[in-house]
Amino acid sequence: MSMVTSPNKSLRIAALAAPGAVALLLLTSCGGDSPRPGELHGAVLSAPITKADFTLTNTAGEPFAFRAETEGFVTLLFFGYTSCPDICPVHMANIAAVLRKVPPQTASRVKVVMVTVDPERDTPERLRNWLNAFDPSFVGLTGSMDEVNEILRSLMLAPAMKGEGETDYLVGHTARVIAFTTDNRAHVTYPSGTRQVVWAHDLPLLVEADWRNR
Amino acid sequence: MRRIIPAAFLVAALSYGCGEQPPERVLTASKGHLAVYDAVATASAAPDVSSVYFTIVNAAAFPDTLFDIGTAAGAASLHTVVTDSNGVTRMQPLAALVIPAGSSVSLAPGGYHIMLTELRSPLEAGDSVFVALNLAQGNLLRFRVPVLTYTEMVERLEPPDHE
Repeated sequence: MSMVTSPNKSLRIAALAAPGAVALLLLTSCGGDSPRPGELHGAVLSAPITKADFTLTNTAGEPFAFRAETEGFVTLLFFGYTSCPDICPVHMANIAAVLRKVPPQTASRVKVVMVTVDPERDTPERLRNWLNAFDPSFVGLTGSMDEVNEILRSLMLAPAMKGEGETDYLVGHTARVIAFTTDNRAHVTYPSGTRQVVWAHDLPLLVEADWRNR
Repeated sequence: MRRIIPAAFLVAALSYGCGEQPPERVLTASKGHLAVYDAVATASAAPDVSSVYFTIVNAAAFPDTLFDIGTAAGAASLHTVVTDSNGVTRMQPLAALVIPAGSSVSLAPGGYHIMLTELRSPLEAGDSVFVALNLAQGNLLRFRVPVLTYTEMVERLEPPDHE
């Protein structure tokens, strides 16, 4: 398990520790720097994605200005739907489980936002109840399919596609979770199948990362 | 039949690579050359939708085909997950699933799974559902599947050295 130690704490501990432990701390203490290539276990993007500036409706029926509301947080953005039995709930369950395991100083700096790609069936109430099965703090957003696809395009992601059927249809959508960091850009995404070990490794790094140093 | 069940266990053991610690498998049901392990249903996050996962082992020297799934809980359909060149991921219904001779197929998150829809009532953790699998070689496997939350289910998939 990887731990990010704050510089002050590192110094205090280092002063008391043997040289071997100092070397270990130097290897693990990376607060304030951008993660080096290969350090993150998610899928690092060749070109970062700029955080989209959109407003959709949250599950309380209020407008949610994504960029303003998530400013200063590591923001995990996912596009999914509640009638999805596999990819979407598995992503949400893994992220929720990891946020309960990482130190609170990491978890408190992460926001999870899910935008439904099935606005016909996903009422704010249905979305709220679904998210509560994972973590009541997860934000659920609804908008028209056109609005959502416009957001996906602005993030250079393929639009969602509704399958055939009146009420019993499937929806195709990107299965990647996009991780925006505090520089309001995403440098890394997490595909379907991302294990908790990967999240637990990367989230502290993303929280501590200062991409301006890159 | 008594000789065939251990063969199914053996196939299950061999399907893990060298050096990889095989997780403890729990036999859910067996019949003839077939054995089902680690069956789990997920508690409904949305009230009308759920999923079922398991590993099915075919110890016979011939392939078998899963072509029908039944459950009293609602409607069941077999799906796989595909991603196209644009990065759009979707579930794709499957008419049947072949279990090759002397091999196994796992239904697991992100791949093959049984989607339950039109649930009569939401599945809750601690409940169980009956599932029936119809196979082309004539076997019908009926078994009870425990319901876990998605979180409990994904925790089972994590490597044991995670903590």
